[in-house]
Amino acid sequence: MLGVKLIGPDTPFCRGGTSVIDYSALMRSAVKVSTAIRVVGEACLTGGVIVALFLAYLLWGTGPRAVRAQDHFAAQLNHSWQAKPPGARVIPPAADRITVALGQPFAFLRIPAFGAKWRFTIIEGTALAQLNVSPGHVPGTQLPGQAGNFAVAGHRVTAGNPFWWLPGLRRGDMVYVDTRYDTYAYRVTGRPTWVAPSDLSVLDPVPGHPGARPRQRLITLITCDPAWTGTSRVIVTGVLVAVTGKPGA
Amino acid sequence: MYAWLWRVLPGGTGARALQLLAFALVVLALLWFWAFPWASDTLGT
Repeated sequence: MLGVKLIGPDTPFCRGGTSVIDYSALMRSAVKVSTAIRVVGEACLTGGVIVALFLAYLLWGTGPRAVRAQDHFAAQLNHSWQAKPPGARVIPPAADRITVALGQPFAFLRIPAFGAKWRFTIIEGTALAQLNVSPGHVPGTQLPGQAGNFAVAGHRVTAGNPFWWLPGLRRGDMVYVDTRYDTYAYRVTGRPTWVAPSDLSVLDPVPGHPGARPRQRLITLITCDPAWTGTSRVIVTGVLVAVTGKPGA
Repeated sequence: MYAWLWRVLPGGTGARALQLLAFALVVLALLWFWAFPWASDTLGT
């Protein structure tokens, strides 16, 4: 039937009293359309599979990656803490001796309420590249032990779910920060609060009072809520209650 | 796309299936160890 021209008064395409249907052209067009539909369909299916794989990666792939990174950071910290600190004639207070570099660890964070073995490193920076491997110190906020606000952000889910239990912290729970020189013990001052992601006042040296002179030494822990969304931020605040020096530091 | 891939692969059905499996594993490894970490560091997940 291909290439046959049908002529008749009741055929749909008429030209000067006769009608012509080019079936080969119609077939070529149909083949092109079906090929295009098949290619688009296969591309959509492939894209769907890739999205599903990406979700699987977020669920199960980021954890092992974070564990590897944590092992690496912990080894890096332990190694660097064994080395002699750079000499100085006048030794400043320990908190001022802490040096930070973007993406590099400088302390351990321990929260016994999350479990006796719960421990993560704290690295400098809170961009995704940092938070995907460790809780991070918010640049511009104070360092452990300093007067003001030492802010640490971490993922609620993915990257080992470091702050999954953060909304469950209560007044009196302890938060420990181990640095090269000291261990800082912070006591949680109240129940968690929820703020908008744009509310940066929680990062002020005196939270909510920009420009105020800090008298307390605070820690602020930050994560997302609800899990898997960036709708809100959960804020937990603690105050420094003890500093324990390390032998030889 | 997949039909074309099947057609251009040499060998019989079994050999083609093995080649496709190897190809899929390579693509999966590239996604898992390179593309997905990059995307999760970049896309704000």
